[in-house]
Amino acid sequence: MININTQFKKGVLELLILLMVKKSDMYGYELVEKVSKIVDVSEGTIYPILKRLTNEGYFETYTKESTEGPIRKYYHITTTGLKIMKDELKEWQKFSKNVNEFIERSTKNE
Amino acid sequence: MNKEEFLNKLRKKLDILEDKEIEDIISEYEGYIEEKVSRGLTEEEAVKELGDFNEIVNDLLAAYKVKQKDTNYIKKFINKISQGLDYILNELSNKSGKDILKFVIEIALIILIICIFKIPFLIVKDLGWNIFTSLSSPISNIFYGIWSFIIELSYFIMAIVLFIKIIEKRYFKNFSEKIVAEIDEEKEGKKEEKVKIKNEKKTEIGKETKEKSPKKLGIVEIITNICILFIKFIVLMILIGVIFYLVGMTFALGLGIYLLIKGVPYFGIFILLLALVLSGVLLLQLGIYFVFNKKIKASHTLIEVIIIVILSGFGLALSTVEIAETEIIYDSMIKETKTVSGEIKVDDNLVLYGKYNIIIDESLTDTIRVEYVYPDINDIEVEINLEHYNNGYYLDYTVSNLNWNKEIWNKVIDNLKAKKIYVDNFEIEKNVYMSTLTKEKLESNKSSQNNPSVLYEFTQTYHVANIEESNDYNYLYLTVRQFQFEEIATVKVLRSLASEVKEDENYEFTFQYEYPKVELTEGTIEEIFEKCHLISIEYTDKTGVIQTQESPVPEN
Repeated sequence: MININTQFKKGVLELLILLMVKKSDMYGYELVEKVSKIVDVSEGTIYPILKRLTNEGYFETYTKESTEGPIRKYYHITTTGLKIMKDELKEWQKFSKNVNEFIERSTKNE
Repeated sequence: MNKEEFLNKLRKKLDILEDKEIEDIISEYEGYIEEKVSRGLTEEEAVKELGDFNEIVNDLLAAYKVKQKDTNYIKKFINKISQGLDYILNELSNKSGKDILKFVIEIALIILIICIFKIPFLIVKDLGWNIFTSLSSPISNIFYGIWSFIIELSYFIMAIVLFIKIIEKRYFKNFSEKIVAEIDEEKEGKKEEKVKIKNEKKTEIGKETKEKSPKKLGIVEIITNICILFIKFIVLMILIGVIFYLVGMTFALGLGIYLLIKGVPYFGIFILLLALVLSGVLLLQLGIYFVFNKKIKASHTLIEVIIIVILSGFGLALSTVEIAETEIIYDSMIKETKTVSGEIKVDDNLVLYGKYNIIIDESLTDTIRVEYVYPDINDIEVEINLEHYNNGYYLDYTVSNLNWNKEIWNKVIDNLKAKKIYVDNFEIEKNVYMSTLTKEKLESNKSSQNNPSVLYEFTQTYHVANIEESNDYNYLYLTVRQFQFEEIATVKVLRSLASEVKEDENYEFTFQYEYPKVELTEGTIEEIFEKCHLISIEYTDKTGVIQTQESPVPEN
């Protein structure tokens, strides 16, 4: 029922989005463009993650008029967001390290 | 799907969210699409690139689980219930009959506990009633109404919460975890995995601790256990009764076996008896298993029940035929008789009471010969016993040495073999021998003694409404009223009896009358005062009830 692959992707997506917004404040479309370059994900699903992270207080938003056209909503990471980002990053690094080591070992044995 | 279509569809699906949030999301997606269009894509292409519509909606809703509208709670609630029902049905179909029985019993127990919890609520409600009524304001009723509504509502909520909690804890641990897990699933990403792992760990820990220390229980469980103990106690009491029943039934069965060996052809009753004994055994077994928490083997129990049903059905049918074939004779089984006789001297006032046969024997001039004829059962002895009674005698008897022995027993069995049962009333025939002259004398004595009048005394409470002088100084007129019946009457009463009587007070009037000379037919005040003899009037503070006591006046 639950596509583990998409769930997994979403978990990574959250981290990626946190990292990107930490680097500099961004508006939705910009984020979507950048993230979809790294991970193959349908663009429509990124906004809900932004919305959720905002609802949980990891991001705050402000609007800014753009030179090109419509008013844009920018996302800015909060201190809680930073904390979560650090935790998740640590976990991801540990996770990927374990997985990589395992893959290395199993491919060596072959 | 173009921009407009997509946004409208999204708006519809997000209807359960707050309007402000919906607009926020819509404007954001509108922004995406516009950006895409500005970079040379068509609206359709831009919408397509957003991905699966349903996935977007699901993700969005998941992001808003905190800010959902009420309607969504209801939806969630209904969802939970339907999920719960599915789960219950699944669980039940997986469970054995014993588990279901246990489940039903425990549900009943929980309901009982909830009922007991009503008591403190009732006390608080009553307290409110007392407070509000003491205020004695016209709106106190309204206050009380609100008060009781609040209390009833809180009890209702408490009962439901308690019920669900207990049920969940006892039966649907997995179910609640499932729900928790489902909620967690809504929190996407790694966190979900973490929570899941945590949950698993928790349940593992929970299982371990449950196995290690099963006596660490919550208040609810303690109460449940107390209730179970109480029920077990009651079952134990019933079991003691069952044991007595079994002992009696076993004796009866033994007797039945004995009779069968002797050749008494009552197989049906024997089979019925067997079924009764077996059902007693089954009841005892089930009771003991329940009290001592042993597992009941359903297959064994079922076989026993089937055997009992077959036996009792067969036995009942057969014994009906047997009983129908049996002849019941209302007569003494023993035909031989013995006689005992005695004599009474005739005096002028002699009366003989009781039922007896008069046999004329002119040779008896100043005596009466009494003769008792009775069945000759072994060493039986009957003595004539003349009870002195109202100037005469009552013809009585005393029986001694009425023993059952083998001879009679064999006779009973022989009769049973012939399908005959004697219902013996042990009647003694009383024959009285006397001359014609004596007979006439006795009859006249009896008629004069007949219907001796009895003096009855009774008390009636009246309210004295008015007192008035009469023409005769020895009498006063009292206007009295009987309670409940609004009957009022003015009666003439001796001044000596009514000297203490005051107006607007209640008095007990005591009357005497001779029965059957005087008979009260209507029971009105006037009739009572007219026909009965007023003997005393006494003050009373009892009101509102008719005080009527009637009793014969003892002779001196």
